[in-house]
Amino acid sequence: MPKNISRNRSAVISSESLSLDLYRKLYMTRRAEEFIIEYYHEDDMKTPMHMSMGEEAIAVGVCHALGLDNQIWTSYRTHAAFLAKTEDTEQFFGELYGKVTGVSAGKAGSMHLADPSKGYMAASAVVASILPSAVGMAFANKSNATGHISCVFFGDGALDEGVFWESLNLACVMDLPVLFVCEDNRLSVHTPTHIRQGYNSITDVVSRFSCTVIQESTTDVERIHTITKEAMNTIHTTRKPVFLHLECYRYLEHVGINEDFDAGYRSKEEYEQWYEWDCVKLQRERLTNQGFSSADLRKVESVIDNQLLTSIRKAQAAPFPQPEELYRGVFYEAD
Amino acid sequence: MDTSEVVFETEWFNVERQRHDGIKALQNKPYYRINASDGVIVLAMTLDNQIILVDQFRPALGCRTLEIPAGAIDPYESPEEAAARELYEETGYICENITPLKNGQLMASRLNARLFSFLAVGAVLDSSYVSKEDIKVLLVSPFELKEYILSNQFGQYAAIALLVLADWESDLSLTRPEVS
Repeated sequence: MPKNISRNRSAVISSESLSLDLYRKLYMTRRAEEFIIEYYHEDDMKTPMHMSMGEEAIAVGVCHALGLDNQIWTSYRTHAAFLAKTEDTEQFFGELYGKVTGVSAGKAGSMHLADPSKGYMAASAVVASILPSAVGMAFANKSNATGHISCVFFGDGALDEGVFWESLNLACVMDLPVLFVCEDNRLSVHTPTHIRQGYNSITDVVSRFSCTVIQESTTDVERIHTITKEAMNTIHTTRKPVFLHLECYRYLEHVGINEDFDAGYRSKEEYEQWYEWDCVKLQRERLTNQGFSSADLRKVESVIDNQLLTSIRKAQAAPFPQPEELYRGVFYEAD
Repeated sequence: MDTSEVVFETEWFNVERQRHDGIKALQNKPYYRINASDGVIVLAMTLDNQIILVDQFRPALGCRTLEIPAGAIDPYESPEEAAARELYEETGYICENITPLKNGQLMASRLNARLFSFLAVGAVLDSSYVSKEDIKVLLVSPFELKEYILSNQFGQYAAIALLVLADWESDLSLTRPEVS
């Protein structure tokens, strides 16, 4: 359960534009996945879907704070991170439909969405395998004095892999500007934490390394945005990595577009407790408290709905890539 | 959906035969769906709050109808662009204040197209406009439109839903108009 969300209306101090910008991204991400659910049965999107639904506040809060210049790396659960970082719904749906208009010309699918031109460097389907790349990017950032932060998103299941600890160790020992973001839903596919990990607290163990550890259990996108900004300042001032440990809850099955409360590894009641603090609802409520009318918000939402549906229609109409596209972009190509 | 196959195709729509053996009512028999372009419908009002209607011949009904502007969205066009285009093509009016309302289904039992609705306030006639279609433009007050609807002279049901949406999302009072 999220613990530290304030419903005290007078506690809202964020600027309206920030609140609205964050809401737009949250709403876009949620609606994009709702449209995926609506259209997936047509079987035109051939890619397996690892849905972000329920966990969007982390991707949106962190990516909005990072902006375009700082880099991100993620696991296969890419949807929220991609839309939060790029806001490019046409390349998003183009990729899901496997068309040339996709961000990777239709070759990557849902699990490998990325756009290096906007700082989304890569996504990997192999658990924890993206961490060394993120650390390598941070080494390049430090060597070239770019001032950029390399941010890597991973689930709590990544901590069960040796490469996580090697990456954390190297980032700490080499003082690299890495923001580690652990999206902890307490599940590795269907396996809960207590039968996977021989320690009680992730943050206790990670805090023994030479880095700053920040822990939150919240679905409040503005809180996540704020602590990300704090983490970025800490990286710049201490020149050490920061480890953000953020609890969250995945609404849908590990892979696929359906609920799976009948699978026996978690309960519907747990979902309902988290849904009370749903990040999209919470941010909409904040905007209402700031004076936005329902009509104002519905106009914002209608514009995004139309944008998403236009992107879907364009993706459906776009051509598939030609065979010669297959090997393009696989290896580095000099200009 | 177990299987699907396009069995009839035209420039404007196709008919798809599907099997849904998992749905009890459809076991062992085909289901036919019409795939068509999404569309827009525009409730446009002039600066003096007159609603812009179009009078045109509808071959499907074999008669002329009174409607508000509407039409299909082109493949690489946004609903907003289509709304402005259809309004101009059918009426010659230009509007800088076109607000998206909701979108929804027209005939969920058979058709998968969406209809996107818009409210256009303060539309102005382009004096250089020349109509390319056999369409007459009428300007009516909200009260006159209500009379048309209640006397069966206006049967575009999507437009009636749009009147409700426009009332909910603006300070207009289109569903309970005063006598003009």
